[in-house]
Amino acid sequence: MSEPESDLELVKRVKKDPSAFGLVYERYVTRIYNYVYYRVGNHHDAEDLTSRVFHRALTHIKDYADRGVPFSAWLYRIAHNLVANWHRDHARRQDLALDDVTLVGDPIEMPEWVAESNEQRRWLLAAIRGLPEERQELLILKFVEQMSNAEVGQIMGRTEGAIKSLYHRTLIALRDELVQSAAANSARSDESTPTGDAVER
Amino acid sequence: MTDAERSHRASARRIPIDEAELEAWLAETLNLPADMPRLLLDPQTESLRRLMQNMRETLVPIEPSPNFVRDLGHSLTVLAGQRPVPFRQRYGRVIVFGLAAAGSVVSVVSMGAYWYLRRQSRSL
Repeated sequence: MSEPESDLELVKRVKKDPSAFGLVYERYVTRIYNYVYYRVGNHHDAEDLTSRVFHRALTHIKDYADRGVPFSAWLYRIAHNLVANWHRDHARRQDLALDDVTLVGDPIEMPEWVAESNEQRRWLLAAIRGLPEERQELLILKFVEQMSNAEVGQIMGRTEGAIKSLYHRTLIALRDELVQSAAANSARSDESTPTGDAVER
Repeated sequence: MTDAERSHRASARRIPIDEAELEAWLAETLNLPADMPRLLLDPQTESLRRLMQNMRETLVPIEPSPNFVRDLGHSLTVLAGQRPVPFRQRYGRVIVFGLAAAGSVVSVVSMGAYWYLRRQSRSL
């Protein structure tokens, strides 16, 4: 079996014959869609932005030159810019997103443990979406796209060491945020629920 | 969350985090099996490990709708087919080699002409 064509070879081919762009599309559509989906939080906008990413890539692929930055990084850069514009246009942040695909079970027939687990996921996703943009991007590339620190670094234009450091700071910040949020939630529920003592009095 | 869990979390937060050590550990051992007994002894490390486990379960890759993938693929194929390859890109190499070949021919002919004319002038 022949080796799959490298990105660079494929790009060269597309420059000569644009109809080969379909191969680039097939190779990256799911990855770009995932990236965009987790950044915007709904399928409708994810489809719209993914479509724009590939249209823009097709238009500008002739300008792509290999200067040590892989083609995938160039493509993610387009996606990043479009998502950033989208966030600028939709200045308000969505409180809860990523509501259907990533959650498990039918809400009507959900056993309690599934509902609880889904609730925890919503909570975690909400906390992630509260992080600064670059940290969200980092977590998506690490967990959804399952990239190494070096690959993330190429996409985000940073060194591997800087990504490692940012990654760990992000995890610690996220953990602390979740702990604080849990403490605030439990304090709120303690206030709203009359305790046994209060009832007795 | 139960009181015991809350108190565990609160006490975990009071333990100062040696971030450098933690970062070094995370960098080296992030992908090691989750049931490493030594690590479980450290509540800070354990809480991060649990967070990462939750993230792995939550941030899962998803598949775009097949209709969307097909339709977008089709529209890109049509668009790509309509895009003319730039003239320079299509014929660039032919033009360069053509000009080089023509230049060589011209120089050979001029040398021949020079040699012929010189010979003519000498014979007169």
